Amino acid sequence: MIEKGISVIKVHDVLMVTMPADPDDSTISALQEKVLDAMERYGARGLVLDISAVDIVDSFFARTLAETTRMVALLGGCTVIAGMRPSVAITTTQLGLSLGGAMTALDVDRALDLVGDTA
Amino acid sequence: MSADLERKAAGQKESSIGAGPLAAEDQVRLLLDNLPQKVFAKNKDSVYVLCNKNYAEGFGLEPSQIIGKNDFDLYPRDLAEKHRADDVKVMAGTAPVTIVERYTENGERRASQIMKTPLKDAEGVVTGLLGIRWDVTDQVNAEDARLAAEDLLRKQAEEILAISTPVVQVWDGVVAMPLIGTLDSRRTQQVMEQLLQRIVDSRSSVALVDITGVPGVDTQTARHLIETVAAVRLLGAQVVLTGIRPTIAQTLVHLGVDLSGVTTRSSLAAGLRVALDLLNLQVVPKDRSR
Repeated sequence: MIEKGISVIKVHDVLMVTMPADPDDSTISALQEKVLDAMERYGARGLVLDISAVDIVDSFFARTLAETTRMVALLGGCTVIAGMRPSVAITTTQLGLSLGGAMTALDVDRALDLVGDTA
Repeated sequence: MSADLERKAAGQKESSIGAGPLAAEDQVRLLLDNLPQKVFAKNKDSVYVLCNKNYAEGFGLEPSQIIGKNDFDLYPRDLAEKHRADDVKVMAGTAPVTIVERYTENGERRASQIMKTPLKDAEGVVTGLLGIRWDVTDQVNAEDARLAAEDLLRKQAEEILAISTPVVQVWDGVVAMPLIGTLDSRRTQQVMEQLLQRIVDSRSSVALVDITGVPGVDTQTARHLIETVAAVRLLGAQVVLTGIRPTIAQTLVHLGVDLSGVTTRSSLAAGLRVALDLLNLQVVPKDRSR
């Protein structure tokens, strides 16, 4: 199911969501909806959010990510953000943006390992 | 004054110096022709009404041959157009305008400074302009040399910055960055970029940032280090801050810097031990019995 460029795939009991490059505000808002929707439908216990295609993260995106992480946590799941680009990491740090407690991983592979570890 | 000079320029015979009512004008003429600067005056239509010997000599002419001509008669077209445009601007304003003009003469690069100022009559109406031009080649060359030296210094500073932040891979999944020198904001930016890129390229999970070579750690430096640690974490890797000397430890505690979220060790070796541990690796002696 691909709408507005966000792909959501279920891998065993983990949700794999891939963000497209340069997501606009409506795409970012759609992310939250889709994640919660899928979490409910599949009873997933973890969310892996692949942002390796994203080269700019602004405060709106960061806030949405943080909120989504907290919502997933309330639903009993954990979130791992994978593939953050160096430039994005630097900007996020310098802007003092928080990711709401999400874990981070170099790539989707390791992200899945992490979710597996928290089983 | 320009009206008098116009009459004079129309061909009145020059009287000898010191005698008669034209004496004052002769003195002015003497002054003008002895000036090392080039002096000229134009009317409202940018036609020359006066110039001194020096200016005329530049064209291989006598002053009387310049009177009545305009820039298009004396200069190449593009230069004449520029001068005309400058004249219009000067006569439209109230203050003198100074322009530095670079040109090439006999293969040599030279520069002149030209000051043009509007000429007004008794009622304050602009009747033309006065121009004074003198050679500033030496000054311009000195300024160019100074700018070149500044540029070189800046480039060298950048190079030093680049050489002093190497990132080396010490194990599969472990990179080390020995920092040498002070850590200011600009350096931190560079450090972060380099370290993060290297972590991604080498797919490392642990970065050892060694500050043995950082002379002093103040709250600012500590903040930069904490920033770097946070950025690395966002990539999914971890930082072990090593090379914390006793004096640094003292300073940090006295300053009330909170490094509780960071793993720290006093030496790079100790940091490597932590890294291997994080990767669930163990170093064991070789089996001698084989």
